[in-house]
Amino acid sequence: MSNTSENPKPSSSSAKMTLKTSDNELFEVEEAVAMKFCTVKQYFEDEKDSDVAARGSTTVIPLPNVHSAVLATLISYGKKLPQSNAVADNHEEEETKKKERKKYEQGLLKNLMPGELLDLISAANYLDFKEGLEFFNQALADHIQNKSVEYVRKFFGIKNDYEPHEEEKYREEYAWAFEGVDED
Amino acid sequence: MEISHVVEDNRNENMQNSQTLLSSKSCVSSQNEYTQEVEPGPPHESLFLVLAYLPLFELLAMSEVCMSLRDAVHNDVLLWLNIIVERPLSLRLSDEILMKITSKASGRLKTLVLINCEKITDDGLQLVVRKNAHINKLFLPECTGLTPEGVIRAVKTLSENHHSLKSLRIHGIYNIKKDHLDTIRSYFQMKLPQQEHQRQQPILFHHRNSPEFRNEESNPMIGIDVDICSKCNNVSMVYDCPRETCKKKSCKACNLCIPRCEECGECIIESEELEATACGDNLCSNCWLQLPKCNFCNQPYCKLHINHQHRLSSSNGFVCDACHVKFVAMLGACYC
Repeated sequence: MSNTSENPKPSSSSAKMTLKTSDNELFEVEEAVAMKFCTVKQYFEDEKDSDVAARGSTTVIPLPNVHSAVLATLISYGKKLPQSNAVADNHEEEETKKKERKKYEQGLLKNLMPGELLDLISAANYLDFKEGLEFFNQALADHIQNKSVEYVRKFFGIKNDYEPHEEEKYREEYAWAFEGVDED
Repeated sequence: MEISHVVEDNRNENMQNSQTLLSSKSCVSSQNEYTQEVEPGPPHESLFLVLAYLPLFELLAMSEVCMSLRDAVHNDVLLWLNIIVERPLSLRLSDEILMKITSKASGRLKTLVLINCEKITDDGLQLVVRKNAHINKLFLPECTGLTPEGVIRAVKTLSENHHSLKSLRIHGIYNIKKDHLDTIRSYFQMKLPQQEHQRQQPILFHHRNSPEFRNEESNPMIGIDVDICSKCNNVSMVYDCPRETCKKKSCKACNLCIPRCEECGECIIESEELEATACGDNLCSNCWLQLPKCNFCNQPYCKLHINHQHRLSSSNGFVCDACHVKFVAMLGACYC
């Protein structure tokens, strides 16, 4: 199992905490991963380190704004990130891990619907999960790269609430930006 | 992230009503087919978070989508502190437009990335730099309208005021010579004496086209991208070698002097024969062996050009562009 190479110090990462989602599902997560959600980290900010493990196993942290499907994805992404307590690997191991992570990321993004991606971003923002926020935002940015305004509207289901003459004026002002854009 | 919280605060009032409706909508719709069944409505809150990750063109496109996004884009100074101009805007960006865009930062511009913006001139750059003394990343690759003197002038201006310039990219600008590079380095050196040749990330050939500037918070490349090639003494991009045995760095040179493999970035040892590829790029023997080959001529495409493969419906594998043309011509001849 790859777990042993990812967590060479089993004693410090065996502490687990339980997270409860908006639809009342419980997720048991290792401390190292849960601490990447800074909102969760804040819960334990006041406690001393020695108490965290004890507290972690008994406390259930409610996350009323996060759905279970979304949290599951965020946790599995968090697990794939380099752990802060891991021993530094040599160059080769790092490269293989990076490649694995890239493959995982690509697989993840391929099957994601736009609505799901937006929910993931909201949840990552709520949890203050910096790496997740960065990754999913970048994925979304990459997706709308070079796409037209109409595409964005359709893709996200956004209503165009511009008055027609206002929109004309706006396009004129930024005509240099929009001239000759391909339709997707 | 600070940016997202500021934007969220501004939007909260507008979003309170629409937000609950929308989040319940997206929960339901993620279980169904998303696209056709949802009525168009106000934008999801996450779209406001994404704005910070968009280069200039996409930012402007988003601002035209609806009124609330337009307000978000134009009223948030934080979005204008990191300007990234790439395709399709790069060829259209003039000095005047650049001035207009950068003025939205109210003098606090931090990052300016202009990729292949041919129309930008030294004077245009100078105006921007004079008004935004806090720029810490200035990327001007392939801005062929600039001259080395213009770059020097800009770097000088930035180092006079606040010394905030940390990272500079200028490869692709014509006629940079060793003297120019030395002058630029001296301005960098004024700030941090030890950092002259220090780079935190090795520069790898096969990564040269990836949009690294976006991820630079985690892997900052401080300093200047170009260097003097140890073999030809010209100023150009000089690459590090990922091959373990090249630690002695004798192959640290420009791409013309030491060819590198497009897939793995390793230097191609002179004794190895350069194998032919369908796209004309260089590959080392190992990578050449691993890539799929054209059914006719047995040459591979590198990953960059993989979309040139023509798939034949009847068989596995692909046919390269050149063979495909011949194949089609042959078919045509058969019917004549």
